[in-house]
Amino acid sequence: MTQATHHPAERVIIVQRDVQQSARLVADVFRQAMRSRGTFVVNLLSSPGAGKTTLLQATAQHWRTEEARSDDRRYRMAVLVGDIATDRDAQRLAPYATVAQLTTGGACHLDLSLVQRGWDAMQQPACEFLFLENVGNLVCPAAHDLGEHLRVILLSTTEGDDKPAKYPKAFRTSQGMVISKTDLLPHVPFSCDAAVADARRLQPDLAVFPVSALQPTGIAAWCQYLVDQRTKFLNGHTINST
Amino acid sequence: MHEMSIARSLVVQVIDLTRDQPGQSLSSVRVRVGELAGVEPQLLLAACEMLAEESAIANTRWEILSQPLLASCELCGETIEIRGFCFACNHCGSTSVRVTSGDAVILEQITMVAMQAAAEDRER
Ligand SMILES: Nc1nc2c(ncn2[C@@H]2O[C@H](COP(=O)(O)OP(=O)(O)O)[C@@H](O)[C@H]2O)c(=O)[nH]1
Ligand SMILES: [Mg+2]
Ligand SMILES: [Zn+2]
Repeated sequence: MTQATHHPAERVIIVQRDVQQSARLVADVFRQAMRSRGTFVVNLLSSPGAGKTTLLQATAQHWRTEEARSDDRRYRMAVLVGDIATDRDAQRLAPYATVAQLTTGGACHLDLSLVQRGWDAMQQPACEFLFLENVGNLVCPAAHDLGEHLRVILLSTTEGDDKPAKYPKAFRTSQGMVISKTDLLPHVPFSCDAAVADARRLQPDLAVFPVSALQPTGIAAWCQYLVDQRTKFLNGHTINST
Repeated sequence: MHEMSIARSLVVQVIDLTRDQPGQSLSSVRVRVGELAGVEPQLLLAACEMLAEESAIANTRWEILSQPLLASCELCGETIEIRGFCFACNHCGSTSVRVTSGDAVILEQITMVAMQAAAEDRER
Protein backbone atom coordinates (compact mmCIF):
# COMPACT_ATOMS: atom_id res chain seq x y z
CA MET A 1 0.00 0.00 0.00
CA THR A 2 1.36 3.44 -0.82
CA GLN A 3 1.61 5.94 1.98
CA ALA A 4 -0.79 8.76 1.39
CA THR A 5 0.91 12.11 1.46
CA HIS A 6 -2.07 14.40 1.84
CA HIS A 7 -4.43 12.04 3.60
CA PRO A 8 -3.28 9.40 6.02
CA ALA A 9 -3.98 5.81 5.01
CA GLU A 10 -7.49 5.00 6.08
CA ARG A 11 -8.84 1.55 6.65
CA VAL A 12 -12.54 0.86 6.71
CA ILE A 13 -13.75 -1.97 8.90
CA ILE A 14 -17.22 -3.22 8.07
CA VAL A 15 -19.13 -4.09 11.22
CA GLN A 16 -22.78 -4.27 10.19
CA ARG A 17 -24.10 -5.10 13.65
CA ASP A 18 -27.39 -4.35 15.37
CA VAL A 19 -26.43 -2.17 18.32
CA GLN A 20 -29.06 -3.80 20.52
CA GLN A 21 -28.12 -7.33 19.52
CA SER A 22 -26.44 -8.30 22.79
CA ALA A 23 -29.33 -6.81 24.79
CA ARG A 24 -31.70 -8.94 22.72
CA LEU A 25 -29.70 -12.09 23.45
CA VAL A 26 -29.92 -11.37 27.18
CA ALA A 27 -33.66 -10.81 26.75
CA ASP A 28 -33.98 -14.17 24.97
CA VAL A 29 -32.31 -15.93 27.91
CA PHE A 30 -34.76 -14.29 30.34
CA ARG A 31 -37.72 -15.12 28.07
CA GLN A 32 -36.68 -18.76 27.94
CA ALA A 33 -36.07 -18.96 31.69
CA MET A 34 -39.53 -17.53 32.39
CA ARG A 35 -41.11 -19.90 29.92
CA SER A 36 -39.57 -22.95 31.55
CA ARG A 37 -41.01 -21.93 34.91
CA GLY A 38 -44.43 -21.38 33.37
CA THR A 39 -44.53 -17.64 33.92
CA PHE A 40 -46.01 -15.68 31.04
CA VAL A 41 -44.48 -12.20 30.83
CA VAL A 42 -46.62 -9.31 29.61
CA ASN A 43 -45.15 -5.87 28.85
CA LEU A 44 -47.76 -3.07 29.15
CA LEU A 45 -47.13 0.13 27.21
CA SER A 46 -49.12 3.37 27.23
CA SER A 47 -49.04 7.11 27.65
CA PRO A 48 -49.12 8.29 31.28
CA GLY A 49 -52.51 7.81 32.89
CA ALA A 50 -54.04 5.56 30.21
CA GLY A 51 -55.07 3.15 32.94
CA LYS A 52 -52.40 0.43 33.22
CA THR A 53 -52.49 0.14 37.00
CA THR A 54 -56.30 0.26 37.07
CA LEU A 55 -56.47 -2.46 34.40
CA LEU A 56 -54.15 -4.68 36.42
CA GLN A 57 -56.29 -4.15 39.52
CA ALA A 58 -59.40 -5.11 37.56
CA THR A 59 -57.63 -8.14 36.07
CA ALA A 60 -56.60 -9.40 39.49
CA GLN A 61 -60.10 -8.80 40.88
CA HIS A 62 -61.62 -10.73 37.99
CA TRP A 63 -59.39 -13.74 38.56
CA ARG A 64 -59.99 -13.60 42.28
CA THR A 65 -63.76 -13.75 41.71
CA GLU A 66 -63.36 -16.62 39.25
CA GLU A 67 -61.16 -18.47 41.67
CA ALA A 68 -63.80 -18.19 44.38
CA ARG A 69 -66.29 -19.86 42.02
CA SER A 70 -64.20 -22.84 40.99
CA ASP A 71 -61.03 -24.05 42.55
CA ASP A 72 -59.33 -25.54 39.51
CA ARG A 73 -58.55 -22.07 38.18
CA ARG A 74 -55.85 -20.13 39.80
CA TYR A 75 -53.88 -17.34 38.24
CA ARG A 76 -51.26 -15.87 40.44
CA MET A 77 -49.82 -12.61 39.25
CA ALA A 78 -46.72 -10.61 39.94
CA VAL A 79 -46.24 -7.04 38.81
CA LEU A 80 -43.13 -4.96 38.31
CA VAL A 81 -44.14 -1.33 38.18
CA GLY A 82 -41.91 1.17 36.48
CA ASP A 83 -42.44 4.56 37.95
CA ILE A 84 -40.20 7.53 37.69
CA ALA A 85 -40.40 8.59 41.31
CA THR A 86 -43.18 7.23 43.52
CA ASP A 87 -44.38 3.84 44.72
CA ARG A 88 -48.07 4.75 44.65
CA ASP A 89 -48.90 2.25 41.89
CA ALA A 90 -47.14 -0.55 43.75
CA GLN A 91 -49.25 0.25 46.83
CA ARG A 92 -52.43 0.11 44.76
CA LEU A 93 -51.52 -3.35 43.45
CA ALA A 94 -50.13 -4.84 46.65
CA PRO A 95 -53.51 -6.23 47.85
CA TYR A 96 -53.78 -8.38 44.71
CA ALA A 97 -50.34 -9.37 43.58
CA THR A 98 -46.71 -9.79 44.45
CA VAL A 99 -45.44 -6.41 43.44
CA ALA A 100 -42.17 -4.52 43.28
CA GLN A 101 -41.49 -0.97 42.34
CA LEU A 102 -38.80 -0.27 39.80
CA THR A 103 -37.66 3.26 40.36
CA THR A 104 -36.13 4.37 37.11
CA GLY A 105 -34.62 7.55 38.50
CA GLY A 106 -36.02 9.65 35.70
CA ALA A 107 -35.38 7.16 32.89
CA CYS A 108 -38.01 7.13 30.19
CA HIS A 109 -38.26 3.34 29.82
CA LEU A 110 -37.67 0.08 31.66
CA ASP A 111 -34.67 -1.94 30.67
CA LEU A 112 -34.07 -5.60 31.28
CA SER A 113 -31.46 -5.12 34.00
CA LEU A 114 -34.06 -3.19 36.05
CA VAL A 115 -36.62 -5.93 35.43
CA GLN A 116 -34.20 -8.64 36.49
CA ARG A 117 -33.28 -6.74 39.64
CA GLY A 118 -36.96 -6.31 40.53
CA TRP A 119 -37.71 -9.97 39.81
CA ASP A 120 -34.86 -11.01 42.11
CA ALA A 121 -35.96 -8.49 44.75
CA MET A 122 -39.44 -10.06 44.85
CA GLN A 123 -37.69 -13.43 45.16
CA GLN A 124 -38.92 -14.88 41.88
CA PRO A 125 -42.38 -15.86 43.10
CA ALA A 126 -44.21 -18.82 41.52
CA CYS A 127 -46.82 -17.17 39.31
CA GLU A 128 -48.65 -17.69 36.04
CA PHE A 129 -48.30 -14.06 34.95
CA LEU A 130 -45.64 -11.44 35.35
CA PHE A 131 -46.82 -8.01 34.25
CA LEU A 132 -44.32 -5.29 33.47
CA GLU A 133 -46.03 -1.93 33.83
CA ASN A 134 -43.73 0.19 31.70
CA VAL A 135 -43.06 3.87 32.19
CA GLY A 136 -45.81 6.02 30.66
CA ASN A 137 -44.33 6.85 27.25
CA LEU A 138 -45.05 5.53 23.76
CA VAL A 139 -41.63 6.17 22.24
CA CYS A 140 -38.74 4.84 24.29
CA PRO A 141 -40.28 1.64 25.78
CA ALA A 142 -41.17 0.51 22.25
CA ALA A 143 -37.49 0.09 21.37
CA HIS A 144 -36.56 -2.00 24.41
CA ASP A 145 -37.04 -5.75 24.62
CA LEU A 146 -37.74 -6.71 28.23
CA GLY A 147 -37.77 -10.43 27.57
CA GLU A 148 -41.58 -10.38 27.45
CA HIS A 149 -43.75 -12.99 25.73
CA LEU A 150 -46.55 -10.59 24.93
CA ARG A 151 -46.62 -6.85 24.37
CA VAL A 152 -49.86 -4.98 24.92
CA ILE A 153 -50.49 -1.31 24.28
CA LEU A 154 -53.20 0.66 26.08
CA LEU A 155 -54.88 3.50 24.31
CA SER A 156 -57.40 5.45 26.36
CA THR A 157 -60.43 7.12 24.83
CA THR A 158 -59.36 10.45 26.36
CA GLU A 159 -56.10 10.73 24.44
CA GLY A 160 -57.54 10.81 20.93
CA ASP A 161 -57.81 8.21 18.17
CA ASP A 162 -54.84 9.53 16.18
CA LYS A 163 -52.19 7.99 18.43
CA PRO A 164 -51.37 4.90 16.33
CA ALA A 165 -50.07 6.94 13.40
CA LYS A 166 -47.95 9.06 15.74
CA TYR A 167 -46.27 6.14 17.49
CA PRO A 168 -45.71 3.53 14.77
CA LYS A 169 -43.10 1.46 16.58
CA ALA A 170 -45.16 1.00 19.74
CA PHE A 171 -48.16 -0.27 17.76
CA ARG A 172 -46.17 -2.33 15.26
CA THR A 173 -44.37 -4.22 18.03
CA SER A 174 -47.51 -4.97 20.07
CA GLN A 175 -49.67 -8.06 19.71
CA GLY A 176 -52.59 -6.75 21.71
CA MET A 177 -54.29 -3.39 22.18
CA VAL A 178 -56.61 -2.42 25.00
CA ILE A 179 -58.86 0.56 24.35
CA SER A 180 -59.32 1.79 27.90
CA LYS A 181 -61.92 4.05 29.56
CA THR A 182 -64.69 3.12 27.14
CA ASP A 183 -67.19 4.41 29.74
CA LEU A 184 -66.09 7.90 28.64
CA LEU A 185 -66.91 7.33 24.94
CA PRO A 186 -70.15 9.37 25.12
CA HIS A 187 -68.18 12.37 26.36
CA VAL A 188 -65.03 12.40 24.21
CA PRO A 189 -64.36 12.65 20.48
CA PHE A 190 -62.90 9.19 20.00
CA SER A 191 -63.74 6.70 17.29
CA CYS A 192 -62.88 3.12 18.17
CA ASP A 193 -63.21 2.14 14.51
CA ALA A 194 -60.74 4.80 13.39
CA ALA A 195 -58.23 3.90 16.10
CA VAL A 196 -58.47 0.19 15.30
CA ALA A 197 -58.17 0.79 11.54
CA ASP A 198 -55.09 2.96 12.07
CA ALA A 199 -53.50 0.50 14.47
CA ARG A 200 -54.13 -2.44 12.13
CA ARG A 201 -52.43 -0.61 9.26
CA LEU A 202 -49.35 -0.87 11.44
CA GLN A 203 -50.07 -4.30 12.89
CA PRO A 204 -52.69 -6.27 10.92
CA ASP A 205 -52.79 -9.08 13.50
CA LEU A 206 -53.46 -6.82 16.48
CA ALA A 207 -56.00 -8.28 18.94
CA VAL A 208 -58.25 -5.50 20.28
CA PHE A 209 -60.03 -5.26 23.65
CA PRO A 210 -62.31 -2.33 24.47
CA VAL A 211 -62.39 -2.14 28.24
CA SER A 212 -63.78 -0.01 31.01
CA ALA A 213 -62.13 -0.84 34.28
CA LEU A 214 -64.65 1.29 36.16
CA GLN A 215 -67.97 -0.13 34.99
CA PRO A 216 -66.39 -2.77 34.50
CA THR A 217 -66.89 -4.06 30.97
CA GLY A 218 -64.64 -6.05 28.68
CA ILE A 219 -62.48 -7.34 31.52
CA ALA A 220 -63.55 -10.97 31.12
CA ALA A 221 -62.62 -11.03 27.41
CA TRP A 222 -59.28 -9.41 28.16
CA CYS A 223 -58.52 -11.90 30.93
CA GLN A 224 -59.52 -14.79 28.69
CA TYR A 225 -57.16 -13.50 26.00
CA LEU A 226 -54.29 -13.51 28.49
CA VAL A 227 -55.07 -17.04 29.60
CA ASP A 228 -55.39 -18.25 25.99
CA GLN A 229 -52.15 -16.62 24.93
CA ARG A 230 -50.35 -18.15 27.87
CA THR A 231 -51.75 -21.60 27.18
CA LYS A 232 -50.93 -21.37 23.50
CA PHE A 233 -47.44 -20.24 24.30
CA LEU A 234 -46.66 -22.83 26.89
CA ASN A 235 -48.30 -25.46 24.70
CA GLY A 236 -49.27 -27.88 27.40
CA HIS A 237 -46.44 -27.01 29.70
CA THR A 238 -47.71 -26.86 33.32
CA ILE A 239 -46.40 -24.59 35.99
CA ASN A 240 -44.39 -26.00 38.88
CA SER A 241 -46.30 -24.99 41.96
CA THR A 242 -44.29 -24.24 45.03
CA MET B 1 -34.92 10.27 25.82
CA HIS B 2 -33.53 6.81 25.28
CA GLU B 3 -31.11 7.90 22.53
CA MET B 4 -28.64 8.36 25.37
CA SER B 5 -28.73 4.69 26.30
CA ILE B 6 -28.37 3.62 22.65
CA ALA B 7 -25.44 6.02 22.27
CA ARG B 8 -23.84 4.54 25.37
CA SER B 9 -23.85 1.03 23.93
CA LEU B 10 -22.62 2.37 20.58
CA VAL B 11 -19.64 4.08 22.20
CA VAL B 12 -18.80 0.97 24.25
CA GLN B 13 -18.97 -1.27 21.18
CA VAL B 14 -16.86 1.09 19.09
CA ILE B 15 -14.19 1.32 21.79
CA ASP B 16 -14.14 -2.50 21.94
CA LEU B 17 -13.63 -2.69 18.19
CA THR B 18 -10.75 -0.21 18.22
CA ARG B 19 -8.95 -2.35 20.84
CA ASP B 20 -8.47 -4.99 18.13
CA GLN B 21 -6.61 -2.46 15.96
CA PRO B 22 -3.24 -1.65 17.54
CA GLY B 23 -1.28 1.18 15.98
CA GLN B 24 -4.44 2.64 14.50
CA SER B 25 -6.70 5.37 15.70
CA LEU B 26 -10.38 5.84 15.02
CA SER B 27 -11.37 8.57 12.61
CA SER B 28 -15.04 7.98 11.93
CA VAL B 29 -18.06 5.82 12.72
CA ARG B 30 -21.01 5.22 10.43
CA VAL B 31 -24.38 4.34 11.92
CA ARG B 32 -27.66 3.55 10.15
CA VAL B 33 -30.87 4.43 11.94
CA GLY B 34 -33.85 2.53 10.63
CA GLU B 35 -37.03 4.47 10.03
CA LEU B 36 -38.77 2.15 12.50
CA ALA B 37 -35.91 2.06 15.00
CA GLY B 38 -37.77 4.44 17.29
CA VAL B 39 -34.67 6.59 17.46
CA GLU B 40 -34.28 10.25 16.54
CA PRO B 41 -31.07 10.56 14.43
CA GLN B 42 -30.35 14.14 15.54
CA LEU B 43 -30.66 13.21 19.22
CA LEU B 44 -28.51 10.13 18.69
CA LEU B 45 -25.81 12.21 17.01
CA ALA B 46 -25.76 14.72 19.86
CA ALA B 47 -25.61 11.92 22.43
CA CYS B 48 -22.77 10.10 20.63
CA GLU B 49 -20.71 13.24 20.31
CA MET B 50 -21.24 14.12 23.92
CA LEU B 51 -20.36 10.67 25.28
CA ALA B 52 -17.38 10.17 22.93
CA GLU B 53 -15.92 13.50 24.03
CA GLU B 54 -15.35 12.10 27.53
CA SER B 55 -13.98 8.77 26.28
CA ALA B 56 -11.05 7.13 24.56
CA ILE B 57 -12.54 7.99 21.17
CA ALA B 58 -12.82 11.76 21.35
CA ASN B 59 -12.45 13.58 18.00
CA THR B 60 -14.40 10.91 16.13
CA ARG B 61 -16.60 11.95 13.25
CA TRP B 62 -20.07 10.42 13.65
CA GLU B 63 -22.04 9.80 10.49
CA ILE B 64 -25.64 9.04 11.45
CA LEU B 65 -27.58 8.06 8.34
CA SER B 66 -31.13 6.91 7.95
CA GLN B 67 -32.22 3.56 6.57
CA PRO B 68 -35.49 2.94 4.75
CA LEU B 69 -37.95 0.38 6.05
CA LEU B 70 -37.90 -2.76 3.87
CA ALA B 71 -40.08 -5.82 4.12
CA SER B 72 -40.64 -9.06 2.35
CA CYS B 73 -44.18 -10.06 1.37
CA GLU B 74 -45.10 -13.47 2.78
CA LEU B 75 -47.62 -14.01 0.01
CA CYS B 76 -45.94 -12.97 -3.26
CA GLY B 77 -42.34 -12.87 -2.05
CA GLU B 78 -41.61 -9.36 -3.30
CA THR B 79 -39.27 -7.07 -1.41
CA ILE B 80 -41.14 -3.86 -0.70
CA GLU B 81 -40.42 -0.51 0.84
CA ILE B 82 -42.86 0.41 3.58
CA ARG B 83 -43.84 4.06 3.22
CA GLY B 84 -45.86 6.01 5.73
CA PHE B 85 -45.77 2.95 8.03
CA CYS B 86 -48.47 1.27 5.99
CA PHE B 87 -47.67 -2.41 6.35
CA ALA B 88 -49.17 -3.80 3.18
CA CYS B 89 -47.65 -5.18 -0.02
CA ASN B 90 -47.87 -2.73 -2.93
CA HIS B 91 -47.79 -5.64 -5.39
CA CYS B 92 -50.48 -7.98 -4.13
CA GLY B 93 -52.09 -6.04 -1.27
CA SER B 94 -51.30 -8.66 1.35
CA THR B 95 -50.82 -7.34 4.89
CA SER B 96 -48.68 -10.30 5.80
CA VAL B 97 -45.26 -8.70 5.46
CA ARG B 98 -42.06 -9.35 7.39
CA VAL B 99 -39.71 -6.45 8.09
CA THR B 100 -36.23 -7.26 6.79
CA SER B 101 -34.41 -4.02 7.55
CA GLY B 102 -35.02 -0.53 8.88
CA ASP B 103 -36.25 -1.43 12.36
CA ALA B 104 -32.93 -1.20 14.17
CA VAL B 105 -29.84 0.89 14.80
CA ILE B 106 -26.95 -0.65 12.90
CA LEU B 107 -23.30 0.03 13.57
CA GLU B 108 -22.28 -0.16 9.93
CA GLN B 109 -18.56 0.58 9.80
CA ILE B 110 -15.67 2.26 11.52
CA THR B 111 -12.73 3.92 9.81
CA MET B 112 -9.26 3.58 11.30
CA VAL B 113 -6.18 5.53 10.40
CA ALA B 114 -2.55 4.58 11.08
CA MET B 115 -1.42 6.51 14.16
CA GLN B 116 1.82 7.65 12.50
CA ALA B 117 -0.05 8.97 9.50
CA ALA B 118 -2.52 10.66 11.78
CA ALA B 119 0.30 12.33 13.69
CA GLU B 120 2.01 13.46 10.48
CA ASP B 121 -1.28 14.82 9.27
CA ARG B 122 -1.63 16.86 12.41
CA GLU B 123 1.89 18.29 12.02
CA ARG B 124 1.11 19.63 8.59
N1 LIG C 1 -63.37 6.77 33.50
C1 LIG C 1 -62.40 5.87 33.62
N2 LIG C 1 -61.27 6.23 34.27
C2 LIG C 1 -60.30 5.32 34.39
C3 LIG C 1 -60.43 4.00 33.87
N3 LIG C 1 -59.27 3.34 34.14
C4 LIG C 1 -58.47 4.21 34.79
N4 LIG C 1 -59.07 5.41 34.96
C5 LIG C 1 -58.55 6.59 35.63
O1 LIG C 1 -57.44 7.10 34.92
C6 LIG C 1 -56.45 7.59 35.81
C7 LIG C 1 -55.11 6.96 35.54
O2 LIG C 1 -55.20 5.56 35.74
P1 LIG C 1 -53.92 4.67 36.08
O3 LIG C 1 -54.38 3.27 36.18
O4 LIG C 1 -53.21 5.23 37.26
O5 LIG C 1 -53.04 4.90 34.76
P2 LIG C 1 -51.52 4.46 34.46
O6 LIG C 1 -50.69 5.68 34.64
O7 LIG C 1 -51.53 4.02 33.04
O8 LIG C 1 -51.17 3.37 35.41
C8 LIG C 1 -56.97 7.31 37.21
O9 LIG C 1 -57.56 8.49 37.71
C9 LIG C 1 -58.01 6.24 36.99
O10 LIG C 1 -59.03 6.25 37.95
C10 LIG C 1 -61.64 3.64 33.21
O11 LIG C 1 -61.84 2.52 32.74
N5 LIG C 1 -62.58 4.62 33.12
MG1 LIG D 1 -49.57 3.21 36.74
ZN1 LIG E 1 -47.18 -9.27 -2.01
